[in-house]
Amino acid sequence: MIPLNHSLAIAALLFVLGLAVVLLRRELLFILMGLEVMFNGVALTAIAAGQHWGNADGQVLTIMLMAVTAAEIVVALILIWLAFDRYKAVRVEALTRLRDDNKEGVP
Amino acid sequence: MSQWLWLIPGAPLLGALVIALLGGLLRREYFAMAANCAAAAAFAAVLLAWFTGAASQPLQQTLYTWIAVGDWRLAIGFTLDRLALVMVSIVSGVGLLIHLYSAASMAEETDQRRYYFFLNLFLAGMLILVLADNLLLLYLGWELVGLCSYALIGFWYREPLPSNAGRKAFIVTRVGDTALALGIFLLFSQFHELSLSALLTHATTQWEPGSQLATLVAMLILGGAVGKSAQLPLQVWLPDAMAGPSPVSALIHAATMVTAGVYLIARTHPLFELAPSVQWLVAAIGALTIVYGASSALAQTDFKRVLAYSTISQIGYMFLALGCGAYALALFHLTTHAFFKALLFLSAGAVIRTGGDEHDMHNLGRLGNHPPLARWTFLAGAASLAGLPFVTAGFYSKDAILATAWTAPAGPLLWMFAAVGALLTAVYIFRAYLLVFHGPGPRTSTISLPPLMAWPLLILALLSLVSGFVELPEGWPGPHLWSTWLEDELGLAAFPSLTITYTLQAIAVLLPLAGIGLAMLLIHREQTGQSLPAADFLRTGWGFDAFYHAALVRPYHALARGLWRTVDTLVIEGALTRITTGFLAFAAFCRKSVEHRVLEVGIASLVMALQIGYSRLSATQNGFLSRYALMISAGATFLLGYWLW
Repeated sequence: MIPLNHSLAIAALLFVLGLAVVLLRRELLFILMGLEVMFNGVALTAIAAGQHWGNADGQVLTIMLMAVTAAEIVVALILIWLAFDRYKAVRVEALTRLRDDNKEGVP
Repeated sequence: MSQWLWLIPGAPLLGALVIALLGGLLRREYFAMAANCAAAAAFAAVLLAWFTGAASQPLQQTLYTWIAVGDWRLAIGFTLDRLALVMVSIVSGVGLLIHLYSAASMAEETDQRRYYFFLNLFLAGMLILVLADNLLLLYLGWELVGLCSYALIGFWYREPLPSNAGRKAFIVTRVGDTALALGIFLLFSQFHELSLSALLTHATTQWEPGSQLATLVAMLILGGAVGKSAQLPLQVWLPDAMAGPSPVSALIHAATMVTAGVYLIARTHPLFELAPSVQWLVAAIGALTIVYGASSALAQTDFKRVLAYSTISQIGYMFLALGCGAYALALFHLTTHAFFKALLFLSAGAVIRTGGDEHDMHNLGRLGNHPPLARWTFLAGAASLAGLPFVTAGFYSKDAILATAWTAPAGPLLWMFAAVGALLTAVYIFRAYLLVFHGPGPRTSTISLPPLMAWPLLILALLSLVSGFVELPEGWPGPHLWSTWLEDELGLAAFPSLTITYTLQAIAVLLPLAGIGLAMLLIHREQTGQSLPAADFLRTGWGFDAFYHAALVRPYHALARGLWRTVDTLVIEGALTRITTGFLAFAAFCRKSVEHRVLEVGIASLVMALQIGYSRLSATQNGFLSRYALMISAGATFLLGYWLW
């Protein structure tokens, strides 16, 4: 029986690691991987809580999360492929089209 | 028939509206046709009324509620009693004949649309005036005919003379109209009622004979009648009104509109019977006006001005009859006068037209070559106007008035005036006839008038000769249809004893004959170069125009000029300059302080603040995905921390 604190610590570690990858890496694919790692941290929390309370809800939530992640990854991968196809970009620095150009004055 | 009563004034009103609103779609020849159809429809409606018993039973129709204030209601309603029946018959009948005549005589004029619009509108206004069952509707018609009269006198408005004459007519009649309006206000303030029949009943039951209120109301109504009917002292507009087209003079300034005053007094005669002094004043005004008009007509040189002064004088007879309480006889003379005076104007118009728009009688006489039909019909009208005994309508109507005048207070004096007037009437009209038709010019002519002009002349000539036979003089065997028919509504006229009546009638027979003789003498004198004594005085209408000009117009101008120099220049302009300067200083102050300091600085700093804020905030929108992610994480962490602690 793994104590709850251990599981939560691992989950938090996973989440922070994923977040760090999202924030620090510049490649789109790595950012996507960081996101998956964060999802795993969240899923682990749910499993651990479900085990702690003797309740199946945590496992249900995890299975649901897997399905959603699978769907999400499909869309995200298509977007990344499109970004590469249109702009020849694999890094986020190349994708700044939402930037507001201050020098052009008030819109 | 009652439910079709609206058609009598409605048909010409509809005609006027069609001409005014849809005239753009019509060709110009159709204006006359449209106007004639409207007049004919009105006349047909009147004939229908005659045949469906309006002559015995008054008809009444209420169209709709005009004004509703609180529980007080005023309806547009028409009443067709015998008095109104006589008037609508004359107005629509003579009106139709003159419309027909216009179609021929005005055919070459350019402004057909305006002419027929106002002619039809006039007919509608006059019929509304006559049929109205309350005073406000009557006043509406009264003003409508005044407006049309103004517009038609000034028909040739590009020339100064007609347009000035139109203005003069409008302004002078306004004096009378104001008096009438005041009279209506006074009656309303007393009885809270405008319906004519109710008002007259209230007045006769509540007011003492000779009471002050009754006298005042009668005076005010008399003022209105005097203005509209061109009696002394408001007669000055009528001679100038002859600047309008001849058919207009015939219709408005001879046959119908100017007799509206007579109709008004006849309609409100119970009020005048409550004020005997005013009633005598009516007779006195009439008697004076008879002599005034007749003597002024003696010295005129303009053909139509003779007829204008003659109209003034003849309406004087009607006033005299009204003042003597012989309302039916006033109406009788009104009827015959409508026939023969319309005839005189129309035949004079034909002569003037064929003579190349020449108005001077001496020149017309020199020109000669007048259409024979115009000559004979003019002679018929002149005979009727002069009251040539036995064969003319004018004799019967005028003789009756002369006889009844004897019975009034100071009757012999009134009779004297009327008799002198009758003599002068024959003199001036035969002077005009002899000057124009027996001048040195060629007398035989083969000019024939177009049928549309000839038929109205013939019909009117016939009527001016025979229409008198409905009422033979007092004391004669024969029909007295007119006075017996109108007895219920207007009462019977009083006559002196039979011997006096017969004497007066004998004098009345002799007067026109003597007048014709005098006219021949007068012509003889004029041809030898001698003129009438005081001819200039008479020609200018006893100098009334000059007097009014000196007594009213010039002081008014002086007052206006004085006010302009003092009040306008000094006070108003001075004050305006001050006010303007003040406003300018205030505006400059506002611009410097408020606008420059407050508004401009405020707006500029607001704009600057917005710009700075914008540029600061704009830095966050840099498009870097990692930065956005960091912000979202930081925000989430902050919120989480806030909620947990």
